[in-house]
Amino acid sequence: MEIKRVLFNKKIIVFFLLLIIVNIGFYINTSYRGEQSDITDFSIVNTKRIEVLNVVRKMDINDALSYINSRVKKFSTVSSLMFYDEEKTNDYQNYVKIWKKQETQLRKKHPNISAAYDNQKYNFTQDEIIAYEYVCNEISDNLNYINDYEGYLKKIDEQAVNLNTVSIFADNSSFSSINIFKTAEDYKKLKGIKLTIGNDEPLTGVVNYTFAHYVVLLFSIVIILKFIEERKRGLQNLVFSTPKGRAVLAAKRCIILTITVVATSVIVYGSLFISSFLIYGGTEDLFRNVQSIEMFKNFTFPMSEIKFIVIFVLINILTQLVISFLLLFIFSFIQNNILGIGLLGIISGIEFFLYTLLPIQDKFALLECVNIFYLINPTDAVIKYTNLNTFFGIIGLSKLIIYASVLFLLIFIFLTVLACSRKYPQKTSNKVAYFILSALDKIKNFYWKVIERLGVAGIELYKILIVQKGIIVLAVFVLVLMSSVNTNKIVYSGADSIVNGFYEKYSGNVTSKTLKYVEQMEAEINAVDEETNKAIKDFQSGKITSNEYDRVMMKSYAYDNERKALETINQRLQYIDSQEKSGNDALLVNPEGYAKLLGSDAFNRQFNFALVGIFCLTILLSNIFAFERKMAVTDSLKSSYRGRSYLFFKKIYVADIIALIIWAIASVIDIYSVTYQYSLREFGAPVKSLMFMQDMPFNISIGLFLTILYLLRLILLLAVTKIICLISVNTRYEVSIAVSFMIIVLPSILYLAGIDIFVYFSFAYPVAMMSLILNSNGFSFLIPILIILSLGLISGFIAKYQWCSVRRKNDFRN
Amino acid sequence: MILEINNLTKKYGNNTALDNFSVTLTNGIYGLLGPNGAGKSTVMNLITDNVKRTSGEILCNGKEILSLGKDFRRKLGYMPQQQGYYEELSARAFLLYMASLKGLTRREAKYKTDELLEIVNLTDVAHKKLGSFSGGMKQRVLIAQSLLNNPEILILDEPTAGLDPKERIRIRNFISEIAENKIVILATHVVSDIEFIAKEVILLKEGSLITCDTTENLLSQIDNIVYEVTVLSGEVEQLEQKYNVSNIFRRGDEVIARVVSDSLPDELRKTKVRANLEDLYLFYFGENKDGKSEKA
Repeated sequence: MEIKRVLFNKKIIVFFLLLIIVNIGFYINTSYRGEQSDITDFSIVNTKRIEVLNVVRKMDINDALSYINSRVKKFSTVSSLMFYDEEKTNDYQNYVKIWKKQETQLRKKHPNISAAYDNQKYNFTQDEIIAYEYVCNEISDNLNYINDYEGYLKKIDEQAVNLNTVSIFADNSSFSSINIFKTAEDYKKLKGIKLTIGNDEPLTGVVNYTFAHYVVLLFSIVIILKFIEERKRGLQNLVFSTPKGRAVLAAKRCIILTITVVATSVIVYGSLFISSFLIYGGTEDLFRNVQSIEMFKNFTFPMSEIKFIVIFVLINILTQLVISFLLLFIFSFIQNNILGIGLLGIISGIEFFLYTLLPIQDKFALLECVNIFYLINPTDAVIKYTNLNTFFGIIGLSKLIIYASVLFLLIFIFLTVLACSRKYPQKTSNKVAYFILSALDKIKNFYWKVIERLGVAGIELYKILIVQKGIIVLAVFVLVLMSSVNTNKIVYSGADSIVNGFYEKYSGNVTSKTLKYVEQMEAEINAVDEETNKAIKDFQSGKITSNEYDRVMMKSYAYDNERKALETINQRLQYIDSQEKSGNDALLVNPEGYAKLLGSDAFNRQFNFALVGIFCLTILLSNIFAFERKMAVTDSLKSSYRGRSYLFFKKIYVADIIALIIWAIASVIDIYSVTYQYSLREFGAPVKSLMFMQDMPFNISIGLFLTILYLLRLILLLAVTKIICLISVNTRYEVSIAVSFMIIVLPSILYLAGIDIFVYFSFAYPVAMMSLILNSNGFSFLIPILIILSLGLISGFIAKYQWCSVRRKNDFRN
Repeated sequence: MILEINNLTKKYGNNTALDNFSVTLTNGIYGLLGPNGAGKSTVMNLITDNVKRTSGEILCNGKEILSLGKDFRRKLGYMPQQQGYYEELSARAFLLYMASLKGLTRREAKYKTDELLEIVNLTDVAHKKLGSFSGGMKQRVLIAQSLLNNPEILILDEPTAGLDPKERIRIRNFISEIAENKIVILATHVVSDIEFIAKEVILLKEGSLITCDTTENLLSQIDNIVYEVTVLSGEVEQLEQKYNVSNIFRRGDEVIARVVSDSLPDELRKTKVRANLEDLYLFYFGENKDGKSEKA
């Protein structure tokens, strides 16, 4: 019965399915946003990886290495030749000036590859070539790792022998000495294991994906909350007075929690591994030794990938069980939920302190490792080789985690059953508890005095953010958006630095000073080129030595950055010139930041932000009216003086505030994600100063454009809130969110999944807006925007009419 | 204040929940009595304009309440049968919120909220969440809610359900006190709630008005047909099957049954007693065992 109540509960099942979908969705999104996505499309890289691996798998290591190295050479050469060809087409003079010489040298160096390229034997796109180059480099690194692994093991062995001769390690009983020997002994198990090249991504992808651990934990917490739900409903005395309401119920709950953790872990990790192998391929590598992947080089237990997957899941089940039973014990032992949360907060604080501040060499490192934060994600502890100096002697970290987990698990289960059978629901508090509870009461009274000062709008906001836990949705929203921000500092190439320096000085109108700077730069480069040409001729005629020739050539190479920079600067000056000739105002503006904020580079981010924003808006607002029906207060509200129009507008006002919050968070993080790496200046410059905006049907200032863009996004979000409100007025509590999701969110997800037709039904696409603007002709981008605005307006009117004027046709209130 | 209800009809598909219901109400307490499904809640939902009527009119001081709209709702206090409240709000926060919706100023709302919390005996727990309240406490909060705007028309659907006797009496007396200048419509199954405070009792059955009159006039209709019959223990069941028995109690060794019937045989040991509202209820809504007593 308890299993049925807790697990086979409609809400719990829906929540679980939602968690699984979100988890897999995040994983796929993370995979697609992998490092290679900066250079080319994920699916191309993936296909090429599978293709190259299929060839390499059949070879022995040396053949594979020479094959891959030859591929690396081939693809980097072809990639360069493709680039030169592109340059020839785009700007031949520039090509002759800068690249021709390098192409000649490259062709001389790789005549066969060049000939094959000329004969069009490489029928690939530039993206494919880049992907090949990336994949071959990656496989080359893996092959080198495999090739060197025996040497790596040998070095560890030799280190043990050598260090033993050093006096400070000579004491056989010291930690250092035992550690050295234990390390050598443990690594000996790996001697002679066969490492083979294969697809590392499906396994490393999941092992590195930490979000899944929190998904399992979150679901366990939900189940524990379901256990203690009886307290809130006042059923605790009733349950405690039944024959099976004490130890038997506690034991049953322990079993349910165990089943939950085991099943959730198996499904969560299982679905991730299945998704991962479906995305990346690589099932044929499941039986190779896991140490074939560099990430596992210090995992001292020889086993196949598939065995590791099983071990990985089992260890995670064990550690998740420990945390879950700790939580269950705390909430079983402490009857007051607030006190329970307080104690949990204190324990977490201490654990975090130990986790972050204790050095691993410390005698108390045990407390750092047998720690909630280590247990949530035990992967590092398992795959990294570490020995700890504990009071009980030296022990490997992975073993310590497993032994300690088993021990603590048994202790927590015992204590939970004990607490449930011995703790009375009604108990006179001891002095400490009384003091804490009366202090909490005072805080609560103060809290309510503050809440009671709120007006109607304040209470409506309180209902959404606190009563319906919307604040958690907002926190998750911020976390999700922040996690997408790239906080790596940009490392500029030499040429880029020169271009940036140029913009620092000469942004704005193109003046004679600007042109003079460019002329000087050109003159300087020309002088170097002349000197180089002369040196080549002189060297060929024997007038200069090879040393002198090399010096001149080195100088010429050093000017490559200047050449590239000059090319870019000239391109942009030419663009400004062409705009002015067409009668458009345009200024010199560094386009880097704006391209990341508004250009095609930003389309994905903007769409994701818009989708997540709209999704959160849907969760937060779909019950804004439906909640009243759930609470059965609609009749009382509607029979009040201000319970119709006034309350409707207050609710709409609050819905708009929520939309404003979502918009503000998304906008700030959007701008921050760009300004963290790039600077945005020259807001007064016309938008057509930016080359990617040259087809815009207007030429307002960048600042004004940004203001209008962000305001339009806000207005669209406000329109979407009206549609959600209309759905909420007309549907029941649980139904409202499902209908809103299907109408507002699902089309965007389907579009994201690649079903292009859904772009026409997507709300996120127009809200993201820049892709719509830049891919539209003239003002045609306004059409979807106007449609959404109209829908919002009409929805607002209908919602008002339905809330204020439509009466129930029957006596059923919900 | 006059509330006229003329030919009010409400149909749910083919079912008629209220059929040409007409009454005129003036200041005072009106008890609305009837078995489940009689149409009591429908009357209240129609007066509060929460349900769409099929036909008829409701006039407040001669004006249709639909055209009066919020001006009518300003005069209205309503406590529905179904307990509707926000579990996560404190009693005081909930009342202040409702007070704002009833158009009270901030100052009025605070004053009235505190006053009503005192009246319903909840001042000590004013800052506690409603979700932690017992059923009776919630009921008292909802009564307070209906009184926040000092309504001229107060509609209470089962207001004393779940209250202990002491609270029931307290609330009943309070309603009686405040009813002088307002129309109070009080629907209940507990006839003792209205017996001594109702100006008139409206009897409803299957959507139709049976009668609307003062308690005295209604009771006078059954004054001569309420008896206490002395029977043997073994005869009680037989008596119950045949007549409407409103009460059975022991007096010494004897079993006394209170029977509402105008056809009791002479051979029974019976004593005529004064009728009460419960007898009247049974008279109208009983199971008509002797084929004569039910009037509907």
